[in-house]
Amino acid sequence: MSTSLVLAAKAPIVAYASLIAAAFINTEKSDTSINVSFVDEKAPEVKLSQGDKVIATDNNSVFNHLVGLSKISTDNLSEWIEFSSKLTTKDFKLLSVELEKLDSHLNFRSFIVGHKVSASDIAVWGVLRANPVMGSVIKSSAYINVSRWYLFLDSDKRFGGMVELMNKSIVEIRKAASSASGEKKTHKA
Amino acid sequence: MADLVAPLKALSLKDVEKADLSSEFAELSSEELALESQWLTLSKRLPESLVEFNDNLRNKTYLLGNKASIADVKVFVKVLPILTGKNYSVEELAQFRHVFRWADLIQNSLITIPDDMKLKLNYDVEIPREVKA
Repeated sequence: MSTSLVLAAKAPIVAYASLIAAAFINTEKSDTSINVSFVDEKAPEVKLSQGDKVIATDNNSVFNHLVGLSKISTDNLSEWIEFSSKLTTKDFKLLSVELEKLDSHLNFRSFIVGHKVSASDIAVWGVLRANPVMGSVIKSSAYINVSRWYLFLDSDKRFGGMVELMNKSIVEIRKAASSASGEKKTHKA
Repeated sequence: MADLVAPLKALSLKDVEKADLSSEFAELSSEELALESQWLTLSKRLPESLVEFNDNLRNKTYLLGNKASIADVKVFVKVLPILTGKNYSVEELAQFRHVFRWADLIQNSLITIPDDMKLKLNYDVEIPREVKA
Protein backbone atom coordinates (compact mmCIF):
# COMPACT_ATOMS: atom_id res chain seq x y z
CA MET A 1 0.00 0.00 0.00
CA SER A 2 1.42 3.36 -0.91
CA THR A 3 2.24 5.99 1.67
CA SER A 4 1.50 9.56 0.75
CA LEU A 5 2.23 12.93 2.25
CA VAL A 6 0.30 16.10 1.45
CA LEU A 7 1.57 19.47 2.63
CA ALA A 8 -0.50 22.62 2.92
CA ALA A 9 1.31 25.69 1.59
CA LYS A 10 -0.88 28.19 3.45
CA ALA A 11 -0.53 26.55 6.86
CA PRO A 12 0.47 29.05 9.58
CA ILE A 13 3.65 27.02 10.01
CA VAL A 14 4.43 25.01 6.91
CA ALA A 15 5.33 21.44 7.95
CA TYR A 16 8.80 21.47 6.42
CA ALA A 17 10.22 18.97 8.91
CA SER A 18 7.81 16.31 7.61
CA LEU A 19 8.67 17.22 4.02
CA ILE A 20 12.39 16.89 4.71
CA ALA A 21 11.95 13.59 6.57
CA ALA A 22 10.08 12.24 3.52
CA ALA A 23 12.95 13.41 1.28
CA PHE A 24 15.40 11.50 3.48
CA ILE A 25 13.31 8.32 3.18
CA ASN A 26 13.06 8.74 -0.57
CA THR A 27 16.80 9.15 -1.02
CA GLU A 28 17.74 6.24 1.25
CA LYS A 29 18.45 2.89 -0.28
CA SER A 30 15.31 1.11 0.88
CA ASP A 31 11.97 -0.18 -0.35
CA THR A 32 9.99 2.48 1.48
CA SER A 33 9.03 5.55 -0.47
CA ILE A 34 6.65 8.40 0.19
CA ASN A 35 4.53 10.08 -2.48
CA VAL A 36 4.80 13.78 -1.76
CA SER A 37 2.32 16.36 -3.04
CA PHE A 38 1.26 19.90 -2.19
CA VAL A 39 -2.01 21.77 -1.88
CA ASP A 40 -2.66 25.51 -1.80
CA GLU A 41 -4.70 25.25 1.42
CA LYS A 42 -4.43 26.28 5.05
CA ALA A 43 -5.32 22.99 6.70
CA PRO A 44 -4.59 20.32 7.53
CA GLU A 45 -0.96 21.48 7.72
CA VAL A 46 0.13 18.02 6.69
CA LYS A 47 -1.57 14.72 6.01
CA LEU A 48 0.10 11.34 6.03
CA SER A 49 -1.95 8.46 4.60
CA GLN A 50 -1.43 4.83 3.87
CA GLY A 51 -3.73 3.90 1.01
CA ASP A 52 -7.09 5.41 2.01
CA LYS A 53 -6.30 5.45 5.70
CA VAL A 54 -5.18 8.76 7.22
CA ILE A 55 -2.39 8.18 9.72
CA ALA A 56 -1.88 11.69 11.09
CA THR A 57 -2.57 15.34 10.29
CA ASP A 58 -0.17 17.36 12.43
CA ASN A 59 3.49 18.06 11.84
CA ASN A 60 4.78 16.48 15.06
CA SER A 61 2.96 13.15 14.65
CA VAL A 62 3.67 12.92 10.95
CA PHE A 63 7.31 13.85 11.48
CA ASN A 64 7.77 11.26 14.24
CA HIS A 65 6.10 8.63 12.09
CA LEU A 66 8.30 9.38 9.08
CA VAL A 67 11.46 9.48 11.17
CA GLY A 68 10.52 6.02 12.42
CA LEU A 69 10.35 4.77 8.83
CA SER A 70 13.73 6.27 7.99
CA LYS A 71 17.31 5.55 8.98
CA ILE A 72 17.85 9.03 10.41
CA SER A 73 19.37 9.14 13.90
CA THR A 74 16.89 10.19 16.61
CA ASP A 75 19.24 10.72 19.58
CA ASN A 76 17.86 13.43 21.93
CA LEU A 77 15.07 14.09 19.45
CA SER A 78 12.26 14.77 21.93
CA GLU A 79 14.35 17.46 23.64
CA TRP A 80 14.90 19.23 20.31
CA ILE A 81 11.30 18.89 19.17
CA GLU A 82 10.33 20.63 22.37
CA PHE A 83 12.90 23.33 21.68
CA SER A 84 11.67 23.74 18.11
CA SER A 85 8.15 24.48 19.37
CA LYS A 86 9.53 27.70 20.88
CA LEU A 87 10.86 28.82 17.50
CA THR A 88 7.48 29.45 15.90
CA THR A 89 7.05 32.91 17.42
CA LYS A 90 7.25 35.97 15.20
CA ASP A 91 7.99 38.11 18.25
CA PHE A 92 11.65 38.88 17.70
CA LYS A 93 12.37 39.42 21.39
CA LEU A 94 11.06 35.98 22.32
CA LEU A 95 12.70 34.34 19.32
CA SER A 96 16.09 35.91 19.99
CA VAL A 97 16.22 34.33 23.46
CA GLU A 98 15.92 30.90 21.82
CA LEU A 99 18.29 31.73 18.96
CA GLU A 100 20.89 32.77 21.51
CA LYS A 101 20.62 29.33 23.10
CA LEU A 102 20.95 27.63 19.75
CA ASP A 103 23.89 29.82 18.79
CA SER A 104 25.70 28.92 21.98
CA HIS A 105 24.88 25.21 21.47
CA LEU A 106 26.54 25.46 18.05
CA ASN A 107 29.75 27.12 19.28
CA PHE A 108 31.63 23.83 19.11
CA ARG A 109 29.11 21.75 17.19
CA SER A 110 28.54 21.52 13.44
CA PHE A 111 25.29 19.58 13.82
CA ILE A 112 22.74 19.78 16.62
CA VAL A 113 23.45 16.25 17.85
CA GLY A 114 26.60 14.28 17.07
CA HIS A 115 28.72 14.63 13.95
CA LYS A 116 26.21 14.06 11.20
CA VAL A 117 22.78 15.26 10.26
CA SER A 118 20.03 13.88 12.52
CA ALA A 119 16.29 14.20 13.04
CA SER A 120 16.96 17.03 15.51
CA ASP A 121 18.55 19.13 12.75
CA ILE A 122 15.49 18.50 10.59
CA ALA A 123 13.01 19.39 13.35
CA VAL A 124 14.72 22.66 14.24
CA TRP A 125 15.60 23.71 10.68
CA GLY A 126 12.06 22.97 9.48
CA VAL A 127 10.47 25.28 12.03
CA LEU A 128 13.00 28.05 11.45
CA ARG A 129 12.51 27.84 7.68
CA ALA A 130 8.78 28.27 8.16
CA ASN A 131 9.25 31.35 10.37
CA PRO A 132 8.98 34.51 8.24
CA VAL A 133 11.20 36.43 10.69
CA MET A 134 14.17 34.16 10.01
CA GLY A 135 15.07 35.43 6.55
CA SER A 136 16.37 38.72 7.86
CA VAL A 137 17.94 37.07 10.92
CA ILE A 138 20.05 34.83 8.70
CA LYS A 139 20.90 37.67 6.32
CA SER A 140 22.13 39.86 9.15
CA SER A 141 24.34 37.07 10.57
CA ALA A 142 23.30 38.24 14.03
CA TYR A 143 23.75 34.64 15.18
CA ILE A 144 26.92 33.56 13.50
CA ASN A 145 26.78 29.86 14.39
CA VAL A 146 23.06 29.60 13.65
CA SER A 147 23.63 31.17 10.23
CA ARG A 148 26.49 28.82 9.41
CA TRP A 149 24.46 25.75 10.40
CA TYR A 150 21.26 26.98 8.76
CA LEU A 151 22.84 27.82 5.39
CA PHE A 152 24.84 24.60 5.43
CA LEU A 153 21.64 22.55 5.68
CA ASP A 154 19.88 24.88 3.23
CA SER A 155 22.43 23.87 0.59
CA ASP A 156 21.35 20.22 0.85
CA LYS A 157 18.87 18.98 -1.74
CA ARG A 158 16.71 17.41 0.99
CA PHE A 159 16.48 20.67 2.96
CA GLY A 160 16.61 23.82 0.81
CA GLY A 161 16.05 21.75 -2.31
CA MET A 162 12.71 20.39 -1.06
CA VAL A 163 11.50 23.83 0.03
CA GLU A 164 12.36 25.11 -3.43
CA LEU A 165 10.49 22.22 -5.03
CA MET A 166 7.43 22.95 -2.91
CA ASN A 167 7.50 26.66 -3.78
CA LYS A 168 7.73 25.88 -7.48
CA SER A 169 4.87 23.38 -7.30
CA ILE A 170 2.66 25.88 -5.52
CA VAL A 171 3.38 28.52 -8.16
CA GLU A 172 2.28 25.98 -10.79
CA ILE A 173 -0.88 25.12 -8.84
CA ARG A 174 -1.79 28.80 -8.54
CA LYS A 175 -1.14 29.43 -12.22
CA ALA A 176 -3.34 26.48 -13.16
CA ALA A 177 -6.07 27.67 -10.79
CA SER A 178 -6.03 31.23 -12.10
CA SER A 179 -6.07 30.15 -15.73
CA ALA A 180 -8.95 27.78 -14.97
CA SER A 181 -10.99 30.57 -13.36
CA GLY A 182 -9.95 32.90 -16.21
CA GLU A 183 -11.32 30.44 -18.70
CA LYS A 184 -14.61 30.29 -16.85
CA LYS A 185 -14.91 34.08 -16.97
CA THR A 186 -14.21 34.18 -20.68
CA HIS A 187 -16.78 31.49 -21.16
CA LYS A 188 -19.42 33.48 -19.29
CA ALA A 189 -18.70 36.60 -21.30
CA MET B 1 23.08 20.40 -4.67
CA ALA B 2 25.27 18.66 -2.16
CA ASP B 3 24.33 15.56 -0.29
CA LEU B 4 25.46 16.09 3.29
CA VAL B 5 25.39 12.51 4.41
CA ALA B 6 27.04 11.03 1.38
CA PRO B 7 28.57 7.88 2.84
CA LEU B 8 32.17 8.94 3.20
CA LYS B 9 34.49 6.31 4.51
CA ALA B 10 36.54 7.56 7.43
CA LEU B 11 40.23 7.43 6.67
CA SER B 12 42.93 6.43 9.09
CA LEU B 13 46.10 8.41 9.73
CA LYS B 14 47.99 5.77 7.76
CA ASP B 15 45.76 6.40 4.75
CA VAL B 16 46.60 10.07 4.96
CA GLU B 17 50.31 9.31 4.91
CA LYS B 18 49.77 7.44 1.68
CA ALA B 19 50.45 9.54 -1.36
CA ASP B 20 47.13 9.40 -3.12
CA LEU B 21 43.86 9.98 -1.34
CA SER B 22 41.92 11.24 -4.27
CA SER B 23 40.19 7.92 -4.82
CA GLU B 24 38.41 8.19 -1.44
CA PHE B 25 36.82 11.55 -2.16
CA ALA B 26 35.17 13.28 -5.08
CA GLU B 27 37.66 14.95 -7.37
CA LEU B 28 38.07 18.67 -6.76
CA SER B 29 37.37 21.26 -9.42
CA SER B 30 40.20 23.61 -10.39
CA GLU B 31 38.65 26.29 -8.20
CA GLU B 32 38.48 23.90 -5.27
CA LEU B 33 42.05 22.78 -5.85
CA ALA B 34 43.16 26.41 -5.65
CA LEU B 35 41.31 26.80 -2.35
CA GLU B 36 42.83 23.61 -1.03
CA SER B 37 46.29 24.84 -1.89
CA GLN B 38 45.60 28.14 -0.12
CA TRP B 39 44.68 26.23 3.02
CA LEU B 40 47.75 24.03 2.79
CA THR B 41 49.94 27.11 2.42
CA LEU B 42 48.25 28.65 5.43
CA SER B 43 48.90 25.49 7.42
CA LYS B 44 52.66 26.04 7.01
CA ARG B 45 52.41 29.17 9.12
CA LEU B 46 50.81 27.57 12.13
CA PRO B 47 50.15 28.52 14.89
CA GLU B 48 50.23 32.17 13.70
CA SER B 49 47.73 31.42 10.94
CA LEU B 50 45.15 29.99 13.37
CA VAL B 51 43.49 33.40 13.38
CA GLU B 52 43.00 33.19 9.62
CA PHE B 53 41.76 29.62 9.90
CA ASN B 54 39.24 30.72 12.45
CA ASP B 55 38.06 33.69 10.38
CA ASN B 56 37.63 31.51 7.32
CA LEU B 57 35.71 28.80 9.15
CA ARG B 58 33.30 31.25 10.80
CA ASN B 59 30.67 30.75 8.10
CA LYS B 60 31.82 27.45 6.66
CA THR B 61 31.13 23.99 8.01
CA TYR B 62 33.99 22.50 5.98
CA LEU B 63 37.06 24.15 4.47
CA LEU B 64 35.50 24.31 1.03
CA GLY B 65 32.14 25.41 2.38
CA ASN B 66 29.21 23.02 2.50
CA LYS B 67 30.98 19.98 1.20
CA ALA B 68 33.34 17.65 3.03
CA SER B 69 36.45 17.11 0.93
CA ILE B 70 39.91 15.70 0.84
CA ALA B 71 41.15 19.21 1.68
CA ASP B 72 39.64 18.87 5.18
CA VAL B 73 41.60 15.71 5.85
CA LYS B 74 44.90 16.99 4.47
CA VAL B 75 44.73 20.23 6.42
CA PHE B 76 43.38 18.57 9.56
CA VAL B 77 46.50 16.43 9.97
CA LYS B 78 48.58 19.63 9.92
CA VAL B 79 46.37 21.49 12.37
CA LEU B 80 45.75 18.69 14.88
CA PRO B 81 49.25 18.69 16.48
CA ILE B 82 48.94 22.45 17.05
CA LEU B 83 45.62 22.03 18.87
CA THR B 84 46.36 19.04 21.08
CA GLY B 85 48.43 18.69 24.22
CA LYS B 86 47.43 22.07 25.57
CA ASN B 87 44.94 23.33 28.10
CA TYR B 88 43.09 26.24 26.60
CA SER B 89 41.73 29.15 28.55
CA VAL B 90 38.13 30.17 28.01
CA GLU B 91 39.44 33.20 26.08
CA GLU B 92 41.46 31.03 23.72
CA LEU B 93 38.55 28.64 23.21
CA ALA B 94 36.36 31.61 22.36
CA GLN B 95 38.96 33.15 20.06
CA PHE B 96 39.46 29.96 18.05
CA ARG B 97 35.99 28.46 18.46
CA HIS B 98 35.50 27.83 14.73
CA VAL B 99 38.80 25.96 14.36
CA PHE B 100 37.97 23.76 17.36
CA ARG B 101 34.51 23.03 15.99
CA TRP B 102 35.82 22.15 12.55
CA ALA B 103 38.68 19.98 13.87
CA ASP B 104 36.27 18.08 16.11
CA LEU B 105 33.94 17.46 13.17
CA ILE B 106 36.74 16.13 10.98
CA GLN B 107 38.22 13.85 13.66
CA ASN B 108 34.78 12.35 14.25
CA SER B 109 33.61 11.96 10.68
CA LEU B 110 36.24 11.96 7.95
CA ILE B 111 39.19 10.37 9.72
CA THR B 112 39.61 7.76 12.41
CA ILE B 113 42.42 8.50 14.83
CA PRO B 114 43.37 6.87 18.14
CA ASP B 115 41.55 8.40 21.11
CA ASP B 116 44.76 9.58 22.77
CA MET B 117 45.61 11.63 19.70
CA LYS B 118 42.23 13.29 19.50
CA LEU B 119 41.50 16.86 20.38
CA LYS B 120 39.51 16.82 23.63
CA LEU B 121 36.74 19.33 23.52
CA ASN B 122 34.13 20.26 26.08
CA TYR B 123 31.21 21.18 23.84
CA ASP B 124 29.32 22.97 26.57
CA VAL B 125 31.99 25.30 27.90
CA GLU B 126 30.41 28.71 28.22
CA ILE B 127 31.96 31.35 26.04
CA PRO B 128 30.60 34.78 25.18
CA ARG B 129 28.46 35.09 22.08
CA GLU B 130 30.37 36.32 19.09
CA VAL B 131 29.12 39.61 17.75
CA LYS B 132 29.43 40.34 14.08
CA ALA B 133 32.40 42.62 13.47
